Amino acid sequence: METVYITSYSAVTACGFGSQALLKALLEQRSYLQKAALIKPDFVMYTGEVHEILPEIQSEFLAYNTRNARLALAALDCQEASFRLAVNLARQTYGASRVGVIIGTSTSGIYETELSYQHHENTGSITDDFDLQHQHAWVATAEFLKKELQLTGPCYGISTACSSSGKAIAAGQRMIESGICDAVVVGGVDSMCHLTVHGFHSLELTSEVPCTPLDEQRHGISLGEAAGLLLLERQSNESCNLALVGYGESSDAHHMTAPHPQGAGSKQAMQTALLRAGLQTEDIDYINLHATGTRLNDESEMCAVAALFDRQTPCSATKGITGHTLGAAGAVEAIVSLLALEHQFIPGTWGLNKVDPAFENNVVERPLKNQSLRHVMSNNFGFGGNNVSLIFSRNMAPEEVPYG
Amino acid sequence: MDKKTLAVLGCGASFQNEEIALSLDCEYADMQTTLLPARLRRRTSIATKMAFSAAERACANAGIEPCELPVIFTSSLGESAVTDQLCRNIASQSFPLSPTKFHNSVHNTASGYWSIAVKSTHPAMAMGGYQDSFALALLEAWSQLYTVEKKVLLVCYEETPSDLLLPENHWQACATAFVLSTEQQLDHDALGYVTMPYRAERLEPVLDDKLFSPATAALLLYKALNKKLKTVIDISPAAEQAWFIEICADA
Repeated sequence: METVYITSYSAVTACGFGSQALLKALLEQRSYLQKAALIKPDFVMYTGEVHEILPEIQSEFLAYNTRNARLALAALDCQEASFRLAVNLARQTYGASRVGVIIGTSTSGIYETELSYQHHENTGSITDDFDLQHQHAWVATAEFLKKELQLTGPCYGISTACSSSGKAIAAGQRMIESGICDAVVVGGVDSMCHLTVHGFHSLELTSEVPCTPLDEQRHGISLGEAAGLLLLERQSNESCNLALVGYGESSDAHHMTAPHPQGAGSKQAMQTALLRAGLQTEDIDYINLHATGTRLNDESEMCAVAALFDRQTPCSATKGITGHTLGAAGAVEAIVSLLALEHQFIPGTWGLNKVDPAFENNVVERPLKNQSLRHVMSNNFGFGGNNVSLIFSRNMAPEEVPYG
Repeated sequence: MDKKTLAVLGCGASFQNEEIALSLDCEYADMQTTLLPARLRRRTSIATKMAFSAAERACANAGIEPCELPVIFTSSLGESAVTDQLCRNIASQSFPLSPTKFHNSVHNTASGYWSIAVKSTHPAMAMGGYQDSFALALLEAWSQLYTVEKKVLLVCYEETPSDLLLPENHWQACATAFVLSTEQQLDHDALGYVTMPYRAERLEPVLDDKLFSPATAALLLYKALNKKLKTVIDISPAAEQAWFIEICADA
């Protein structure tokens, strides 16, 4: 597989605006899950909501005005707009038509659709500014980003539930390798909404306490919201030492909401990613697990990891810090993996009291600093048995290569 | 424009009813499918039923087992009827929501049920580009076929959105599916060869987007292939910017 380079990335999560806020939360191992406030259900639920005031959409693009689009806009412009500036540079280097946008989302602007339907319930008419095409359609946030960034390359939305943005990253690589694009803005954006809060509750998958993935006493997921953006480029540059070197995708062919009990599909995705990266399991220095905190998901994934990897390979779950950001989870956790590579640490697993004794692998409980990480794997799995596994690598300076 | 092509090994269509097929100048093909189990048939949407039916016909037409194919399902709105119902439930505070309706509202409902029904462990993509949904799915297929896959099944489907979601729309519920490949088949003639989708100038949409959905755009290619036309087709006629594809004589 052709390696593509990650020349910039940005995250807006419950931890705050920017990847630095996420890095701080990971290093301090602090959970940002709080009692649900944006959506107030009549049951107890903890969520990872973005509490900062989101930027306003400029008047020219007001048709796209959703919480999703504002989360995406915050990701463009936080940390001195470093992500926007990197995309501007790519646009100048390759030309606007050679830069695409592929964004994963599980619910797009459905939050605004819900508000509009609420208005209809109360008054008999939908809200004046409701715009299905620019707010609710799967491509809406991708199209908003394309316009904000003045790009004219291919632009689409991917929606495969919780694997959406992992798949968007893989699709971006293919756009570059197949010669259609030279750079692609990839990632995922999902805001809180009634549909997922009440939907996951109706499936009895939500936790009444902040989620504790991989714990013996885990009780389910805590939802979160986020925007995670990565700029993939054909060429590297002086300041970039991060790359996507492999991806694997698969289907469980098992059940709509329950994962394959032995993790057959997730195992296949991880194996394919390793094969495409030309790496062996022992080359992987850290695995950022999907690990949502439901009994079945964690069991299935750990079964697959145990079948493939040496017991010592460090792995951890970071959803206790950010919440499960659904269609944005692949992008947020790709960024967690990139932060780990860039800052040479292994994130811990917030909320662990006792690792489920059924899990034989090395679950990292507290952040480990001063590590020597070269290759990191990030997994995401969604409804429909939809699996994706990504491998990111850091080019090391000669003095950094262990035993080299 | 890229001179490389994709072979179309098979295609299929499905319509919600006969009137729709007639109005789109197509031979009627119903929503029957042998692949969707009866217990799922009762609780899946028109969108999913049409997608299954068109996909099953395309595989049969290509002479390929469905389980052998990675899939790309594309639709601008996906499960819009289920979403409409759930948003009405939320508006009237009718909780708890139906758990089945909730998981059947995700965009990859059709592709998820498909991979389960045909027992395929190949990757399943579910995407959308509003009126460009078909054109961009063809581009996604192109990128898969020129990097990691040998054949793919592309399914483009759209049901009629509710008036609350899209006021005054007349989208005609239908689905179209194609089996695409970069490889020549020794035992099976291709229906035709298509170029990579490409952009070209056009001043404004040629069709009204309240009348025309991306699934009807996909029908234009389906009809041209069945008539063995060698022609250029506007595959996003209701979108602001045009995408074209050319059907070539051979590879």
